Amino acid sequence: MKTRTSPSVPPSVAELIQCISVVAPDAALTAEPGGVKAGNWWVEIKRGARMATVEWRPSRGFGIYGAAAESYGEGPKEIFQSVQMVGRRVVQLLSARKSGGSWLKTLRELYGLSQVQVATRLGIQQGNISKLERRSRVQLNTLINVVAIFGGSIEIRAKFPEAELPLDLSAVTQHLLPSRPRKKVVRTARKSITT
Amino acid sequence: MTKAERFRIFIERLKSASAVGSAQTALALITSTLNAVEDEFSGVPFAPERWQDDGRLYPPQKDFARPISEDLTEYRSVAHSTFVAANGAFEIVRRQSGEIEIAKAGLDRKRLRRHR
Repeated sequence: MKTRTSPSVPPSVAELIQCISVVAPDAALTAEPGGVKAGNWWVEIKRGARMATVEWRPSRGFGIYGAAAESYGEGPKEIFQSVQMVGRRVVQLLSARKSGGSWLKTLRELYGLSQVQVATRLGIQQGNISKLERRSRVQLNTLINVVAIFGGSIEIRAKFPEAELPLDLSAVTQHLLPSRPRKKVVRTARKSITT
Repeated sequence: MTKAERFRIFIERLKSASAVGSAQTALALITSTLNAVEDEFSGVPFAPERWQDDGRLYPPQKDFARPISEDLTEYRSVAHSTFVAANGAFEIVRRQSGEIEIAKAGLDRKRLRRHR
């Protein structure tokens, strides 16, 4: 691991560097200060051919940009408050496995939970979590349920050329029930009635 | 219009603009030029305080200035560094490749010197 840092690295940034260094000891990290007044810092992490950039801003947290960020002055795609979570997320982005993997698995691993733990919180079998993680399509109510167990919420906004407004999800959420195992339905042949 | 296309328009407009004579006016030129392009073509309202990738390009902000030397200041974003000199000269450099997107001289026709 190679680390080149400037003096007076803020504790949060130093903690992030330490966190990533432990989980990905083969990563090269560089930290440099941003604006004097803003007090922001930039951390670049390279692992093989992959790279991620993290910007830390005091009182705002960590913004992750990812390797695809190349536009002038664009903001981060993801923002985290926890050093541990941003460290895990960076390692996910730099991992050798194919990108675009299951969002549920990504979220579960970010929170350090097993499939069994997520299944318990949702009130379903662990096998169903495994199936969900392999699905490419997920229903909105499932998404809402899963995000909720991590303490989050979903907000959907409709953007038009002349307006922007949130979509009311109460019609979806008010009908959400705790998941129950489906009962097996046994179909029997109908008897034909002849006269 | 894509971000890359809008960025090219921004650079072309900067190239066509008249030279300026101070760091303050250089930053103002960069800011006003990019904001005008984004207002015209991005369809995204100006909201730098959100600090999110909202589809809009944002110019350097004063709070993010880092002095490199007595007469040279750097404004860093994720993929670029913008260097502004006291005489109004400036450069926008792509960080990964070192490619210079634009190198504009100040009103005194002198370009900036960077020693990294």
